[in-house]
Amino acid sequence: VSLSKDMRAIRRILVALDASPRSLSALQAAVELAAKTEAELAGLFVEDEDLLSLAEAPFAREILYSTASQVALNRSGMERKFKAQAEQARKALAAAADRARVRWTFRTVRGKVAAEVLAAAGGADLLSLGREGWSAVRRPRIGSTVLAVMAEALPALILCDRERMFTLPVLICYDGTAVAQRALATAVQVAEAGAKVLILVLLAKDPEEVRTLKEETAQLLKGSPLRLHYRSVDPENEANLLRILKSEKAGVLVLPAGKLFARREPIEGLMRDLETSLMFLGARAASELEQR
Amino acid sequence: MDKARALPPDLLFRRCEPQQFKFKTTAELEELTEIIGQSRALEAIQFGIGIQQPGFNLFLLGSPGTGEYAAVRRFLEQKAAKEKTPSDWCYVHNFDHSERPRALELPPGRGPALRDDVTRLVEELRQAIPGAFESETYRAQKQVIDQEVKDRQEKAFEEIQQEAEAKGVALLRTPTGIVLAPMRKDEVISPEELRQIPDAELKRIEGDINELQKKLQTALRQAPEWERERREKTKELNREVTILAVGHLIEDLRKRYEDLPEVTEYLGKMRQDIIDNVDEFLTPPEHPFAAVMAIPQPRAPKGSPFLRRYQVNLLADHSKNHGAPVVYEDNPSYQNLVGQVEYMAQLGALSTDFNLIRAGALHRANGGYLILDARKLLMQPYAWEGLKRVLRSSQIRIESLGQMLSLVSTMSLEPEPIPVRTKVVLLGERQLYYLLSAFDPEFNDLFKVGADFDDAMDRSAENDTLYARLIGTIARQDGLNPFGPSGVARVIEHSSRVAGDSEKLLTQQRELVDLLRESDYWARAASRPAVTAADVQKAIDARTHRADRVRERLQEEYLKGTLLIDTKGERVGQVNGLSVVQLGGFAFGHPVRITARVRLGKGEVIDIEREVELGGPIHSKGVLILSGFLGARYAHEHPLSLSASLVFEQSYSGVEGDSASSAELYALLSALSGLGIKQSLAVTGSVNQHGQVQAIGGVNEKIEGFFDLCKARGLTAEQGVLIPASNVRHLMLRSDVVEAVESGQFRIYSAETIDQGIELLTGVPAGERDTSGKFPPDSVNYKVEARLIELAEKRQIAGQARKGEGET
Repeated sequence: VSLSKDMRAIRRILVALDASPRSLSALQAAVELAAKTEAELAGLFVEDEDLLSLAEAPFAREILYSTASQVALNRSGMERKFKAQAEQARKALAAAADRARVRWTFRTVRGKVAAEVLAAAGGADLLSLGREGWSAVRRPRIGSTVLAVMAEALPALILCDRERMFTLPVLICYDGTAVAQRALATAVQVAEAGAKVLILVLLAKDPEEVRTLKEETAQLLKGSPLRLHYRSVDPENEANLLRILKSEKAGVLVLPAGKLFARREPIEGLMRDLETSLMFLGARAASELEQR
Repeated sequence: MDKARALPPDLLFRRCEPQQFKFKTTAELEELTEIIGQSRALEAIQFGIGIQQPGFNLFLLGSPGTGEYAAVRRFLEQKAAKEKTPSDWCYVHNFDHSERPRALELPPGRGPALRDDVTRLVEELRQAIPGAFESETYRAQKQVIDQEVKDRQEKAFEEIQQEAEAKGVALLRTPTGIVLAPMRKDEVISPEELRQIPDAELKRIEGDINELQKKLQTALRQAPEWERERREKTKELNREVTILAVGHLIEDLRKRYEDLPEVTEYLGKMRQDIIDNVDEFLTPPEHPFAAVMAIPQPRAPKGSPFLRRYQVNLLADHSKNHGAPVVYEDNPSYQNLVGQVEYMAQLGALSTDFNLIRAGALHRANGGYLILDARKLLMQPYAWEGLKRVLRSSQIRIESLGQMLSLVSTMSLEPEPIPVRTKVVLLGERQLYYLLSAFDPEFNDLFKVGADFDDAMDRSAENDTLYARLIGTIARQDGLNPFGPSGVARVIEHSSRVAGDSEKLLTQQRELVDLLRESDYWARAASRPAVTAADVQKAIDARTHRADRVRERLQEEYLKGTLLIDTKGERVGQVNGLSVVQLGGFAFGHPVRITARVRLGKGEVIDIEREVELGGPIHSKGVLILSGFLGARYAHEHPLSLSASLVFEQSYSGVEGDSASSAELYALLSALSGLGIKQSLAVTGSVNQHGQVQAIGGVNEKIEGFFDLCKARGLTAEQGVLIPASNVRHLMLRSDVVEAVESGQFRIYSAETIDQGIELLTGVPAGERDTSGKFPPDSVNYKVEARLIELAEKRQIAGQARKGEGET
């Protein structure tokens, strides 16, 4: 097996946008990644149906960030806010993408955020999400969208820090599964676009398995210009794995689907402690790969 | 009565005998360091410089070129070298009022040291401060502060969130804020569902949400406060780190200047300012001025613009001076005197700071002497006012002209005034001194000492020797060949001639230096190692030749008869007067025909020049004196009944001066007496109402003017010039004139009175009144009186006839 051209292709990146500063910073990273991988950007703004219906509730009040004061909500007011925010997001996407000469589309849909993002993600090779961003509420907690994405096992990138993403090594957990191979292909692509260093954390129970995995990846990465570093860890020892992941200073952490990352807590832990962007590749990504 | 005297040749020219000099060339002579022939002026200068009271500044009065600048400068430098070296002055940033830079006074030599020390300090700080802030310990401390605030925020929101979750409420983000939504099974309850909830339950939810909203608001309101606390703590940390990095460096410097309280105070304030503005040391040195919108901008001056405030602008540096400064400001404009604040253009705007304060001549001369040319000073707009203000207030306040005249009101710098103690020495013409003294009330208070430089000095054997040393000194300074005794003697003779007095020597060095340089040129042309009389003469002749085009043309016209001048024979009512023409630096004399006509009239002498406004007031005065003389002498007992007209023939431009008044009188007397005047003689001299002949100017040029014409037509031994006796001592005639007199070909006569003159000119005795009051018959005066009586009688008859006609 080797990483074929097709396997590696990130051809379409879906960017879920709102107009928060963090989302705009994530947009920059997505644009840069798209430019470096020659992918197309699809911007998506979801007008949250939940918020719209909430606005009709008699006790609906909004507490403004700017003044900490309460204002009454209503549906039309909320619609106007969404409209303004969507326009802002579109402009930001247009400006960033045009500057980087990246092809782009943008659309606005209304519905439940997670459902709409998932629906739109079907045609994309990578779904780019900003980490939940509200400066006051810094508690890292995976939003419903991310959870849904993880549940659906879509290839997704949770962007954190644009600078780090392209200047620090790419870190990947590798266990030899098809999903992991697909993840490796993407990791290679991202690393090539950035610092050209790839750190492989091999999930193996014994030294024999470590050796096998090492050989396998060496075969897969034959001829690659990347500098490679290896770590190994017993996947059963979750605490140890998390410690190793945290100790490596990486720009992107690529996590293939597996039983470790099906749960919310370890991911939340990683997000709390790391300033690293996270890339998930679930089973669906692997099956798509096989279809190709 | 004495007769007009024919002057012997030795009175016509006072020779300087080369034999009196004992040197071979002036190279042997001692250098002349003092100013010669100016003892009065020197005393005044010594007094003015010595007296240390306000207002005792000096004004040196002299003609341009009397050499007072060089002399005074030399004099002042000698004195200043023995005086105390004044303080250095610096301008530094005023940390309390940035628009008013502070002036620091330092002992001489310590100004540049402070400037360099502070520059070095800032350089060190630019390394030390970023170093301190990049250290791991600083980062760790800063992270602790950040984390603390973060934790507090997170804790506050975590609590709210947990409480919300427990109550089944979700925190949702909107584009502009947060809303709280009731949840059921991880989903926001839809409005339809809400409507189905019983009222009591709904009230509870609403109550919960209200309560949570209040908590959320409280937390949100606290966020800026925490943020502020974080900033405060960071600032305090930065302060501590900076003090650690900066403190010892500045302390070292303060110790070095602990004897200067002002400097240590400044360094203390600087330390505080660096601590308050430590961020400026952390920004990269390349300022964003480099390019704006891709257009390259002029480089900002060295270093970050902000750090310029820590520089020291050394205004007056006396580190290399010993003694008090002597400054000559060649271009005494207002700015050059009091200094100025310059501006630099940045992005099209003009900006300035204390580093752009530029010293003026007064700053440089503070504690010493400032020499200025009065004329240049007065010609510069506001420079005189500016200088007076400084002298009055004894401090230099740097203000632009715009500020001084309140023309501009934009904000600029107001540098702290610097106390000034300087002696100002103005050099100027006498005219300027008298004008200032008369019209500027402050002038006499501020320039109490006038040093009057003489244009000429007495000629004596002693002074001749001094003059020789002066010539030697100038020759040495200008790299000229030395002068031999004959050269020196000829220079001295010429100097007397230019001074217009055989008993004086010119002290104007400019004239002298020019002559020496020109003589040197001719000596070198003739390959002579030392300048001789021949070279000096050649220089004088060549100079005359270069300038005498007009004189030659005039001479031509006389010879061709275009201009009518007789040099032989006799004419009634016609006399040869003499006038002088001054063209640039060259003066020459030439004869003028003056004629008089007389007829019956009311006793008036008409000056035709005056009638047509070609005569100046002094000339007119001379003519009016003639009426006085005539009336007083001849018309005691009858009215003066003539009408006489006097004219300068063929004169086409203005006539001024009374030097022709005696000639006019002779013409008038000739016209009245009917006696002819010898045309072989020319006359000069003014006359008073008593008939005394008085001295005039330019006697040498006048004589030479007539001589040249006579010589051109051929000398007859009859020709000569009549001059006032009081002018004899001014005679320094050309050698060819003297030679002609020696050989009897030409004569110079001197007369004290009109009678002596008319006798010479007519060859008829003038005649004195005898005891009966009558003039002897056949004398000039007799004929004049007889004619006047005749005219008076005719007038009487004519008057009676007219009266008779009136009666019939």
